[in-house]
Amino acid sequence: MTDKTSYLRDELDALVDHGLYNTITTIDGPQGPWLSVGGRDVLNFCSNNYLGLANDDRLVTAAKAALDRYGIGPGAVRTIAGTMTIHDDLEEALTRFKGVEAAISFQSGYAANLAVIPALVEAEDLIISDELNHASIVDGVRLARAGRKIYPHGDVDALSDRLAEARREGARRILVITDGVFSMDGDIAPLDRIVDAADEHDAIVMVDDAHGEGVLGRGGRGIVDHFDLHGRVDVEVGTMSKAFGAVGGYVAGSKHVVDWLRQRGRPFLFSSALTPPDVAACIAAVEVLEASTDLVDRLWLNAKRFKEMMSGAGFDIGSSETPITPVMLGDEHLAREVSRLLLEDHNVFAQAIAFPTVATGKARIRVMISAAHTDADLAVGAEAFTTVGKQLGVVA
Amino acid sequence: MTLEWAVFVVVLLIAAMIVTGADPVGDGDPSPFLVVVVVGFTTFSLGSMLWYRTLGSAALLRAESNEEIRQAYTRRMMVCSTFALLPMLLGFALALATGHVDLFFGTFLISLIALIYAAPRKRDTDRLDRAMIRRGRPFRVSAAIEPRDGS
Repeated sequence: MTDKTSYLRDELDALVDHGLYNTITTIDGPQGPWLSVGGRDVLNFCSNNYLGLANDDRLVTAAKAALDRYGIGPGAVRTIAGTMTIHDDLEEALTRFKGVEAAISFQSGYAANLAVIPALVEAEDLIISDELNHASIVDGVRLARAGRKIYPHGDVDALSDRLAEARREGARRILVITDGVFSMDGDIAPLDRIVDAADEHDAIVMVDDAHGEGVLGRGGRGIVDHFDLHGRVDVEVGTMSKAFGAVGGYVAGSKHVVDWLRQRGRPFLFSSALTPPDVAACIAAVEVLEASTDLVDRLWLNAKRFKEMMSGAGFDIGSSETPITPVMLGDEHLAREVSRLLLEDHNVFAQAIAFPTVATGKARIRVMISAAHTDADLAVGAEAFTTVGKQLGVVA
Repeated sequence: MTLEWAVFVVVLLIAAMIVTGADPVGDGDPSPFLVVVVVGFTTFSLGSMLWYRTLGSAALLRAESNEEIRQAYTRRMMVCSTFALLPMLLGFALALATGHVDLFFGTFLISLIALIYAAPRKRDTDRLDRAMIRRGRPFRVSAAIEPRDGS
C-alpha cells in the first residue's frame, strides 16, 4: 500500500535542514523554578508560570477536593450535559476579579479567541488587527467571515488611518483586536490610545491579555486595569494557563457579550468544558491573587533584578516592559547554540526563539521570569548567560 | 542631600546676620535681618521644591511598573509638600519668637500656593501622561495612581 502521507517526511526533513524542527524537552516533575530534565535539575527560564502557581499547594489542594466532589470529567458540552456549579463559581470569580459584568470560561485562551472573534462579526464587518497578534487571534480572524486589515505593530496613528478607511469603505461594524502584552518582545499595547482611536470611529475593542493576566494591573488584574480602562474595553480575553498556573481561557465583558458566546461561541457549543479539578485550581488562583499582591510584586522585582544583571553584563535585552526578557542575539544559529550551551553546560533551560516565530535576524533567547525564582536562581541564570555569552563572543 | 541642605541654610542665616548686622528681635516692623532670612529661606525652599519636582518627574517617566510610578509619585508629592510647608513653619516660628505675625501671614500665603502646586492635580498627571506617550512608554501616571476598589 502506498504511503499517501510520505510527503510529510520530506517536509520534516526540510524543517531539520533549516534548523526549524522543534525538539520538545521532556520534564520529569512539576513546573517550578527548577525542573527535572533527563534526571538533571535545570533552572527553568521557559515557562509562562509567572507567579509560580502551577505547583502551588493551594491550587493542588483545591483540585484534589474538586476531584473528590465532582469527579474527573464534565460529561459533555455544557449546553447538552448541563453546567456544573463549579464552572459557574469560576465565572463569578473571574467576573469579580476583572471588574466586569460577566465572564465565560473556555478550554484554553486559544479556544476563547476561536470562539469570540467569529461570534462578534459577520461578512459585512471588518476586523483590524495588530501585525504581531498571537496565532490564536490570527486563526480566530481566519475563521471569521469579516474582512480584515492589519496595522503596523503598536502604531495607533496607522490604526486610526485604517479605521477611517474602513468607515469610508462602508464597513458595518469594526472590531479592533490587539494583544495586551506581546509575548516575543514583552512590550505592552498602548491600549488607552487604541481605545480612544476606536471610540472615535465607533469600533469594538477586543484585547487578548494572555501575558498580562496576573502580571499587569493591580494584583494582576490585567491591562485594562493597568490603564484604568474599566468599562471602555468591550471584550477581554484571558488565559488561566499562564500566570494562573492551571489551564483554560475566558472572555470577560458585558452580560450580553457573554450570553451571546453561550449561544454562538463554537468551542463552547462543540467541545467539552474544563475538567472540575482544572476549574477548582483556577478559582483558587483567583483567590490567591485577590488575597495578596505579594506574588505580583515579587514577579516585577525579580524581573527588574534580572534585567539589571543582564544589562550590566552587556546583553541587549530589547525593549521589554514586562517580566518577559528577550536576550537579543540576532543570528538563529547563535541563539540555538547559546540555548544548547546553557542547558548542557550550565543546567539553564532557556529556549531559543527564531524564525518563523520572530523575524529573520531577530533571534533571541526568551527568558521568562517567575515570582518563584529566588535571588540566587536569578544570579545563577545571569552568570550562566554571561559565561556562555563570553564564550561565544556575544558580550566582552 | 538633607545634610547639605541644612548646612546651606545655616550658612545662609549666618551670612544674613552678618550682612544686616541686625538684632532679630525688636519692636515695630520686622528687622531687615528677618526679612532677608524669610525671603532667602522661602526662595530656597520653593527652588528646592521645583528642583525636586523636576527630578521626581524624571523618575516617574523612567518607572518600569505601575508600582514604581506610585512610589515615585508619592515620594515626589511628599518631598515637594515638605519644601512647600517650610516657609510657613519658619514664619510661624519667627512669629512666636518675635511677635511679627505679618511674617507668618506672608509665608502662610506663599506656602499655601506652593502646596496647591505640589498637590495631586489632573493637569499635572495629564502632562506626565502626555510625556509618557511622547516617549512611547506604555505606562500612564493617571492610571497608576488612581485608587480603585478591589485592589
